[in-house]
Amino acid sequence: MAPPETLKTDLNSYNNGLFKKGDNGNVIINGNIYGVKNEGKTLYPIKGKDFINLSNGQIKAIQLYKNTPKDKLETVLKNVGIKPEDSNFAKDFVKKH
Amino acid sequence: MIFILNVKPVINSENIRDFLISEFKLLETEVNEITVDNENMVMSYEITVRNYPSELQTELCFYLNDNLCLEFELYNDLQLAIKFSDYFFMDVIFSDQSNDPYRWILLNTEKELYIVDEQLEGVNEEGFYIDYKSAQKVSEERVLSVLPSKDYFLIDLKNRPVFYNSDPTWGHENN
Repeated sequence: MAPPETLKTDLNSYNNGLFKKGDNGNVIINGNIYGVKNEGKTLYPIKGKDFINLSNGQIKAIQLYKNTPKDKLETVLKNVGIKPEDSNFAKDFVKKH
Repeated sequence: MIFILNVKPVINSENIRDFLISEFKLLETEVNEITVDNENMVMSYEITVRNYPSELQTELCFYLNDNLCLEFELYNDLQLAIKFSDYFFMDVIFSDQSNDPYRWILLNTEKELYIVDEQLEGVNEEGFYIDYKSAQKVSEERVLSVLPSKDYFLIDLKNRPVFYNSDPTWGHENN
């Protein structure tokens, strides 16, 4: 996952041709590595200084925090058995974003 | 551990429950949707029907603790997809665990496996549709080589890294 501000800056640079070609067809924009699809029309973040690698557990915990009604949240978190650290991460993430 | 499968039709909760009870020899009281408060829950599931036009209408998430994954010898989406496809006789699509969010693995009813891409252009770009022209046939062994295995589950939870498929040759099967 890449912060929205970084994505915006990097996309602008990419659209202005300010990127280098990396390995495996990837591109390097402002030092961040992106995968390329759809003949260069779609990018996805791979590695960068502000990028975060999210586990399935963290992604799911974020979705649950965002989408579950408050009165069901405790039950849901107990049932899915998400690790406490993933749950805390999701809580902070939802607050921040 | 979370297992995520995508399927074309909408499937109701009773069918998913019956599947889990039958495949994992669980009691009725041990399986239910994640929103149900139940002290005896062993395996829970969540059915999400996409609220926009899609070929893959339904996402199914299955939640199982790591000790039970080891007990059931269930370590990755492919193993669950095989059981699911056999039981319901339908195609199943699941993540290839790479950092490419548009790349998937398709298991069809003939038990064939393909690396496939999501459609990113045209009338279907907003929904979840597969670009079948992109399909690259792969063996079960090849798919298993890029997904979590028992070894991953044996790593202590505190030291276990985020799993991702980092094989640089993945998706370049015919080169």
